Amino acid sequence: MKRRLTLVAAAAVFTLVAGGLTLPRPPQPSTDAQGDAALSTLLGDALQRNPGALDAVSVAVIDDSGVSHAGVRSGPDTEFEIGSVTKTFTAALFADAITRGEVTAEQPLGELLDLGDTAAASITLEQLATHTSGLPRLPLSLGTFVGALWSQFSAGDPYTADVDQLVAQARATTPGEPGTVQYSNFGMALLGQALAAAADTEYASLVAERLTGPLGMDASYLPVETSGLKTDAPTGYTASGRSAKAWTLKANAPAGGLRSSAADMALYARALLDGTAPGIAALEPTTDAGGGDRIGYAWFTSILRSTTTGKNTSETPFTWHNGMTGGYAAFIGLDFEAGRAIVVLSNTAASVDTIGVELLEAAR
Amino acid sequence: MIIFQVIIGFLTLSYPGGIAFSLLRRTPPPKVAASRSRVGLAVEFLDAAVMLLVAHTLLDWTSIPPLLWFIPVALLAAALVGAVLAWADLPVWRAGKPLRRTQVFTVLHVLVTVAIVVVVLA
Repeated sequence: MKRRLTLVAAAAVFTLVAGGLTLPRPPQPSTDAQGDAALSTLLGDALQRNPGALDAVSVAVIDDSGVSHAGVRSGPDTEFEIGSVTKTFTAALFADAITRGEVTAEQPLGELLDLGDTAAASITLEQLATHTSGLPRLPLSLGTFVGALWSQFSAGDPYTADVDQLVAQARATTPGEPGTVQYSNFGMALLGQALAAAADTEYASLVAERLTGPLGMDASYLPVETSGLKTDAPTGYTASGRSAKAWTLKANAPAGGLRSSAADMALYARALLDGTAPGIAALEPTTDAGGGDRIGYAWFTSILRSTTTGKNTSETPFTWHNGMTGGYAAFIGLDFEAGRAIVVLSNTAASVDTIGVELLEAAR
Repeated sequence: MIIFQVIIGFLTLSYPGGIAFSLLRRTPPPKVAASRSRVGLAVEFLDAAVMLLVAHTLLDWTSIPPLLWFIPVALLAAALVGAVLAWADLPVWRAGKPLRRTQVFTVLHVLVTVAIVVVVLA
């Protein structure tokens, strides 16, 4: 009996000591932001309220007075993966291609990609752009599932399909009922590849020639493959603080493969606010996305809700998109009524949406 | 991906919990096959430790309250108590099984476990 009591006591001590010493400590970045003084204070406060970012965070506020930058362990030119914010570039290319007469909104996907007479062939480009095609978030296959699990385990890029494989996945997929918004990386990747096919080029070239080039976003690029990364391309961290490999996404690059900086994204946001960005029609909300939100081509439009009370802070909508890869998170929000935009980039895969919304809220 | 977090969380709790439950119940004797020998038991604890390492490294601790970490650690401690109590009665190698085959499987098992650690920490 005494031995058992001793063992139980030893187990309790082991639990407290071993558990305490190895207790996971969620990443807490320095909240000592540099840059614009007022924005640095706002960012530091927002980071304290919203833990998760491990290392670098870069913020830009764009309004009538110009561009303000603030950052933690980063500057306006620091390179980040922007993840699904890339979808807004694909959406802009789509709206631009319609203007150019290269495609139409109602054009079936099968006219641009080799889908034969499969169900996916009749999906329209507009359905892809508004996430109403019925396609799942990712191709439904055992290989995709195992690949996604492995990427979580190895902190690697789960998107390994080339264009032919992506098209083959589309041929093998039976879409659900179209018309309801169902966020789909798969669909946006197919849209980007279809637009590239319509322009008889590659997706990365299309982005460079029609968007990042004309907007002067010289630091922004689509690596597409690991070999396309710059030699000093940084990598980020998982939410648990593990070093993550770069995501280049190959054929899925239109859904999330762009790398950019706060300074470049500020140029993008400025052109969007001014209405001078190519494919600006993409922002116009056309479809009910549920929960009071609406969606245009990729862009969501929501009523700004207080992050503390959960109540609407005004009846004015803002337009936004977020993004996340294995090692990065991003947010861009546009308040057209106030003529203001916010860009938040982080090299940790922990959402920065709340920080972005708080900064938009604070700016009102 | 939430399902990945759920799988890791489930394994992290169920594996050391299963060892503890198996070793601490008095009757019938431990049913976990590997726990029928000291080497098997050691390998099980290696697995459990790696499971905790994987959970510590891969789970999103910004979303999960870190104090929950004490649960798998407590389960591991309970399993250790069971191991201490059972140790003296266990043979070095499991009886009734071909020794050579058991040794080969044990070495392979340890190698796979080490590979998992390398991938996770790389």
